[in-house]
Amino acid sequence: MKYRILFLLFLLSSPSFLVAQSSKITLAGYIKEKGSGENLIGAVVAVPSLKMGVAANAYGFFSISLPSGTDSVELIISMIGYSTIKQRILPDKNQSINFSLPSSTLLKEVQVDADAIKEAQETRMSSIDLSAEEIRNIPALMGEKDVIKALQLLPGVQKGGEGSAGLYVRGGGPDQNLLILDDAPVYNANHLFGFFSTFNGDAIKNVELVKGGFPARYGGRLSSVVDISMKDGNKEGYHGEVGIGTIASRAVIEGPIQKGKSSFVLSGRRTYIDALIALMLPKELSAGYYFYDLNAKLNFELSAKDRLYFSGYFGKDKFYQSYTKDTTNSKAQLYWGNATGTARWNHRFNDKLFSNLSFITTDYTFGIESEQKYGKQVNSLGYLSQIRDFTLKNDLDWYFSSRHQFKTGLMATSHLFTPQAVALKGSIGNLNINTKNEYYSIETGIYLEDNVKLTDRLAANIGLRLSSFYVQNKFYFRPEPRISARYLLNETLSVKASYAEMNQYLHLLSNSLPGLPTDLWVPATKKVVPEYSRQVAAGITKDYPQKGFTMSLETYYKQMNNIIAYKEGASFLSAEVSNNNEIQLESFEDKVTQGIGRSYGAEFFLKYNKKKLNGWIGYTLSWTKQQFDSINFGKAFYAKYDRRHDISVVVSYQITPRRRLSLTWVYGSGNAITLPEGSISINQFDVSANSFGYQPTATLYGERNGFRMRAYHRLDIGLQTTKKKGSRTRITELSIYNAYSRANPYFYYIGQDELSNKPVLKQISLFPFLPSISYAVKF
Amino acid sequence: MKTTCMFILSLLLSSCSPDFFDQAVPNAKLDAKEPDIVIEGYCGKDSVFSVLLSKSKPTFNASATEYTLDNATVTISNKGTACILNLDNPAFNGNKFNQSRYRAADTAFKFKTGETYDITVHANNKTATATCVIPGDAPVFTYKVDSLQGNEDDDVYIDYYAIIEWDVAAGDQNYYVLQAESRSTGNTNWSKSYTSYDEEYAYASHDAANGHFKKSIALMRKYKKYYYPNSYPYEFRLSLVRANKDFYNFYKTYKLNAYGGEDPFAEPVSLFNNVKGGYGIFSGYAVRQTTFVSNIY
Repeated sequence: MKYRILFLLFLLSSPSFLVAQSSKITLAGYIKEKGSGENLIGAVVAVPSLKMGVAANAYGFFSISLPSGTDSVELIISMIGYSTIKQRILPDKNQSINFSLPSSTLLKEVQVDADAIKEAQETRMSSIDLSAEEIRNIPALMGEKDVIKALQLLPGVQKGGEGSAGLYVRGGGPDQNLLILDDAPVYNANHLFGFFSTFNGDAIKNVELVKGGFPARYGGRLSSVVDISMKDGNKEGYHGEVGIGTIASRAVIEGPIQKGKSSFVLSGRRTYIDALIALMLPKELSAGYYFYDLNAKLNFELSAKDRLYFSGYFGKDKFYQSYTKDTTNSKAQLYWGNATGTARWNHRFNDKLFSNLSFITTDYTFGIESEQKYGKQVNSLGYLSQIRDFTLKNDLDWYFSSRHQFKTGLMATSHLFTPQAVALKGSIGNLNINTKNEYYSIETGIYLEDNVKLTDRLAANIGLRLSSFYVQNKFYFRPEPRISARYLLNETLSVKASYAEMNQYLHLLSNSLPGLPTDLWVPATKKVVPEYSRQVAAGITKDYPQKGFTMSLETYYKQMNNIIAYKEGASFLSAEVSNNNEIQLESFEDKVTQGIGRSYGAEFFLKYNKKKLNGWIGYTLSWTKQQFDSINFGKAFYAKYDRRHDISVVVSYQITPRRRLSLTWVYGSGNAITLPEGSISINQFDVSANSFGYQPTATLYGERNGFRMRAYHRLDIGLQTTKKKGSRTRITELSIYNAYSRANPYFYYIGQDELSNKPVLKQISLFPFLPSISYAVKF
Repeated sequence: MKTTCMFILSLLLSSCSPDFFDQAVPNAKLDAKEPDIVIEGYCGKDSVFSVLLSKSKPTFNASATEYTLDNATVTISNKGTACILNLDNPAFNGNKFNQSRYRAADTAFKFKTGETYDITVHANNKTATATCVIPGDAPVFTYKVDSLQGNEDDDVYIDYYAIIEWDVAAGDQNYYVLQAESRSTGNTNWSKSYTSYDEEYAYASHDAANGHFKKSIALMRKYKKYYYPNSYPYEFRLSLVRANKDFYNFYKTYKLNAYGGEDPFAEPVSLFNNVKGGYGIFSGYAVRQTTFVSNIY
């Protein structure tokens, strides 16, 4: 039935499809940032007199069809954070034209133009863009600017716990978010157990979060897409920035390889906790922790039609320890890291057809290594969990007419999952175990979407994605219809609705404990079927262009089928002994159960962009429940990240041309946890019933996730001071995390009262009032 | 500037007190939780009934210090016929048991196949009730004794075990438990045999391969260092117990809950419970047994 409806919608739009070809000219080109040549994603070219407009794609390319004529028309090119350009052209022939928008510099007030605020007219819904500048203005833990932490401040997005970099979008788990950096998926976006994310703000140009109404070009996850674009690098001149922070230092350098034609950007960040710790340790002991990120990108403008981009990300966290004394030597390390690489070729076949061919590789590895030597005895342990992908994809943007803009493409990914590999060697008993489980799979997707303007008021994005997954000789094939539509009630007010079906062919096995990144990526298999979701959303959007803000209210309902969880009593560590007495890893398939999740709620978002003041207010009211046959005796229970109320207030105020004050305040209802409420003792069944035997106690847990931790709230403050001297700009930022030192819960445990020794529920908190200072020089 | 720095420093110092990082979370509802009645009762066909009663120990109630429940009024009934159970704790040496035993006063009160029985326990202003049905006879089974050599702490051992096989009828919805007991010649009491940690406790008929079960149960483990050249005759008793679904669910969750606590990464296990107003298990069962004498000891 749903496919018939889609077909009918295509047919409905066909008259406009047919007449669209007559007497039209095409205007196409790139929109860039003036002075750097950076492509501007999402910049809008509008023709107010014709009520037409188009947004630039992910490479800054636009194409718009106009009725040909002899009277000139005015084009307005705009983007938030940039000065608007107005230009008249004569629409008498096809034209290639590039625009350069002047950016608002740090020393000026943010320029906001009423033309840039057109959210009500957008067909998309449940999507929010964040610019690098907006992320930079948000005060952060230890002053480390963080993309993921910024996303956590948006409505519909929740963080896991204190300091967590996990994203929980509309009731979905952290594995249900597709995090892509220049088209490459990043499987673990956490540094230091989630206190920081892997996305270095210096290297980021733009972030788009999609929570619902997914366009057909996106697939593979149930709950959200976080599309992060790295900077291309300045094509006009060499620039850089060096920053020193409380826990890490960073540097970025960018510039032309050939002026105006090609550029590079290189950015890095590293912590120095290990260097400080080393000073305090005795010489026989070495221990520490560090993480680093390295982002690099090259881009080449080969011709007016061809561009090449190469980008890569490398990041790693490592804890290490070694001890040497006499004949004893022990060393251990725990590490995890991502490496991604993307090669892209843009090709303009003509002014209406734009192609991007990408080859993408990504690798995520988590490992533990340990070795002990006592004289001649050597014992060692190696543990590894890994996922490796290679992807080839091609996307086409076809600006067919002023009413139809098609996007189509296909992709294929080869996944190699190694959920667990263990190597144990020991002198005692000649222990030698080397075992691992591996899964190889192929994921494919093909899509078509039509951004169609059905009438002047009604527009829609209608699409279909066909996805498939091949694993263990099992072939899954799933059609995924998508539609989002908006109806303009007037120029600034619209109602929007969307429906999306999504499939996810890989799962993240997460245990309930905070701490180690022991989550394992595993594929769908014959036994563990793919996750699947349906989401419907509806809302209204109102722009207040003269006042500089946009307001939206959305409601949603999402059902997620075949979501995965560990069975009760299961552990990621468990192993089994085979019939021939060999230790083997227990297959994850035997440790998990699948069930359903339901999430519904409402989100309010008010975003303001005034000359001196910008930021947003977000409020989410939501419910998330899960149900598994073999957990909680089949009864539905609240997800651990079910959060009834979630509020974020983000304010950035330009006090003077040199000083900016930023505040964020967040509030979230307490997380749901399962508490051990008591114990019982049982004799155990004895057929003779003639004696008491061993009477082990069993723990009585309360209702699954039936206990709520305290509510979370926190105020962060940042004060940025900018001084310009010659070609250098110095930026000093004082940040205060948790300004009123609220003891927010990290986890609960059962401890003892110091005076009465009676058991009490205790809370561990992590971060009190925490000031930090960072200093950066831009040149 | 100096004042600002002093202000920030004083705030920092005051917020870093140990109480900030680790503090009690008062919760009156948790603190006030009273112990509940725990029933452990198994009704075997033709057997004289005894039930083990205890109290749960709420985690945050400091006054709940022991499990035993010696002041309960216990009644078991079937179709209007009721029987009172009396406290009958076994003698103990030193260590007090965690449960209190109650026995049926009327030895004529016997359980019959297919009948439904109700138990009611009153104690400390609380009432707990449960119901069970006595299942049909346990199926006929065959057995074979075998052994396997292993190594533990550089010592060789031999595990003796019985392989037991039985068939289940098509559409059977029953649950089974295996038990092995042993006693030396001349001893009247049976003792539970050595139990392997990996041994399953209960089996569901729907898990039988082609309607057939083939399961092993440990009889004893004999270490080489304690190995005597001579062997002595020892008597073993094998029991195949037919139980019900509640019994199966209780023991599946109980084993995971009580024995799975050593793995810090293990997920919490909710304990199955078929007692209204309390906790525990009240289940009917039927047993089929066979004995044999072996010189493996």
